[in-house]
Amino acid sequence: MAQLFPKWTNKLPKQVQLLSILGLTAVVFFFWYFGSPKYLEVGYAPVQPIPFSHQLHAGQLGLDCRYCHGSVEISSAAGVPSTQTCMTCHEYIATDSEKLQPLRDSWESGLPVEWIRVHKLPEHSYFNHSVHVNVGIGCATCHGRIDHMEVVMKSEPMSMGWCLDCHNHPEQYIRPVEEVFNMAYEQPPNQYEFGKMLVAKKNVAGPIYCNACHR
Amino acid sequence: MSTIRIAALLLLVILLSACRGQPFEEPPRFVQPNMHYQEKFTYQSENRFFEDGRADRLPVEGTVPRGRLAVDVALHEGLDENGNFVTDLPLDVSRSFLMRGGERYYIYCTPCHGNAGDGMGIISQRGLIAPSFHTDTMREMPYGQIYSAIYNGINTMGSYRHQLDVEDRWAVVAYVRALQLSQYASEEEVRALGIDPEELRAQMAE
Ligand code: HEC
Ligand code: HEC
Ligand code: HEC
Ligand code: HEC
Ligand code: HEC
Ligand code: HEC
Repeated sequence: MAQLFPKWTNKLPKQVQLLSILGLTAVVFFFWYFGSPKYLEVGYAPVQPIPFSHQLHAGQLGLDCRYCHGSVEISSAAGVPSTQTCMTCHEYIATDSEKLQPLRDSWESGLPVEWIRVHKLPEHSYFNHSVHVNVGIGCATCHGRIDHMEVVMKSEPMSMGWCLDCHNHPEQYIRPVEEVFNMAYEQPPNQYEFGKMLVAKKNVAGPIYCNACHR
Repeated sequence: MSTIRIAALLLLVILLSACRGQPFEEPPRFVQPNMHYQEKFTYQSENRFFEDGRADRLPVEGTVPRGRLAVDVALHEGLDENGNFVTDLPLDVSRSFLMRGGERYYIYCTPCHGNAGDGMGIISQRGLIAPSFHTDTMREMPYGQIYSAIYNGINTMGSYRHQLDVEDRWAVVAYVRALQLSQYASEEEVRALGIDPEELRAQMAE
């Protein structure tokens, strides 16, 4: 009787085994790496209607975040500034700048400047700035060094795992409330004990029950 | 052998061309955008139903939010019944009130008027020159007039009424007065606080 399987098929099971292991690993790696918000969302830096630079305004000029994001301490949204806020300076500064034309148009027409949202959670989850800012989570912890950015870039994944990492261990990130708006703040070497102390003092507890963020 | 090489090369190309955290401009795409977008308006969203496209509507002309009725002219506009500037603070001053004023001053006024109120803020150096608070006219200025500068703006200074609410405005006014005192204290007044001016001078010189 002729051989049913030629000789080369002897190697086949091993090859299939090896390939499927490699293939599965590749698929898992692919989704783990490219499907994660760390890849999909970190780095989003849209082109804004006005090339507004935080590096100039918040860095060089040293304006406080609240000059423009005034509601960050009292409401869930930080808000982008109104045209009026920019015009307190730009009615007299850089008045002939090309880049500011959309701002002057908005000032005349009363229509808002259409800033593009950079950080936006899915609409099934809720976030509140004032709770975080008032217990001592700094802007830089979640938004990175905004005062070094020409163009605002999303620098943290803002995934659920990221939120929960801090809610479970706020002592890793917490700072004194006076330092929240200080971009250049550096954690002390004994952050763990210091953080524990702050957490105990203010009775801070990040919620981990689902309906805190999904309501 | 060559297939392995090609595969390795391909992997390398993918890895190098697509590192995490590189800046990109087009909106992020999601693997599974389940309920990411819902039929509701969040802040800064667009509603094309209205001509101006705003989903956040402005209050209807002539309406007042609850608790914001501004009938107390002295408190809300800094004017007395004759339309003159009030010469007194309409709110009680406490330590925390002044501290709050200092904090707000630092956020909204420092860029132009400077930390010490000497008009040497960073914006003053860039072309919009703000006056110093340490002149006789400024020291004699009624409380209401400082308030009015914040509330209505004055000449080249814009209004800050949208950024500061009533209490905060008065807190800033009180702080400006405190700043003026701090830069214009006589030696007797300093001594009365139990501080020796000679010692202070020696410290400053160091
Ligand atoms: C002079 C006004 C001004 C100041 C001061 C300012 N910002 Fe902004 N900020 C803006 C404007 C305008 C935008 C919207 C345009 C953009 O994204 O660049 C914005 C956008 C942002 C965004 C992204 C918003 C989004 O759409 O997701 C973040 C985060 C932010 N600012 C943080 C800060 C922080 C932190 C500080 C303090 C260091 C600060 N800003 C100071 C005006 C300001
Ligand atoms: C506290 C004052 C202040 C405020 C408020 C402010 N700016 Fe500026 N801005 C400046 C100064 C100072 C410069 C530098 C001008 C120069 O280089 O001569 C500047 C420069 C700019 C430039 C670059 C202009 C050019 O031609 O290079 C842009 C764009 C700009 N600002 C946009 C904005 C926008 C948008 C807002 C409102 C969110 C805003 N600014 C609010 C002070 C301010
Ligand atoms: C705990 C993390 C965290 C901290 C701290 C934080 N943010 Fe945010 N920020 C977020 C998240 C998450 C969003 C997206 C919110 C959403 O989509 O509802 C956001 C959105 C924003 C936006 C745009 C949307 C809006 O709310 O108007 C601005 C502006 C902003 N942040 C500014 C600030 C400033 C200024 C500070 C510091 C005072 C700050 N943030 C501190 C997490 C944080
Ligand atoms: C760096 C730390 C940190 C990060 C990151 C963080 N949080 Fe929090 N969050 C806290 C702390 C601390 C509290 C508790 C505040 C308290 O005890 O008053 C809190 C409280 C909350 C609350 C409770 C508000 C309330 O009304 O009681 C919500 C909701 C919340 N966080 C949502 C989020 C979401 C959504 C994210 C992710 C986008 C996030 N947080 C990321 C530290 C963080
Ligand atoms: C600290 C706030 C927080 C808490 C607590 C929390 N979540 Fe989330 N959750 C989020 C955020 C933020 C996202 C969106 C993440 C993203 O952008 O991908 C999310 C996303 C999700 C998603 C994915 C939805 C999708 O788009 O596929 C599910 C499912 C989910 N959460 C379930 C839960 C459950 C179940 C619990 C309780 C055990 C819980 N969450 C507790 C903040 C929270
Ligand atoms: C953008 C720069 C700028 C900022 C910020 C600013 N000012 Fe001024 N301020 C000016 C200028 C310019 C003048 C001079 C106006 C004029 O031509 O008479 C002025 C004048 C004044 C005067 C004198 C008013 C008068 O009747 O002569 C007072 C009082 C004052 N500012 C208070 C404040 C307070 C309080 C704040 C903080 C809430 C503040 N300013 C923030 C630029 C600024």
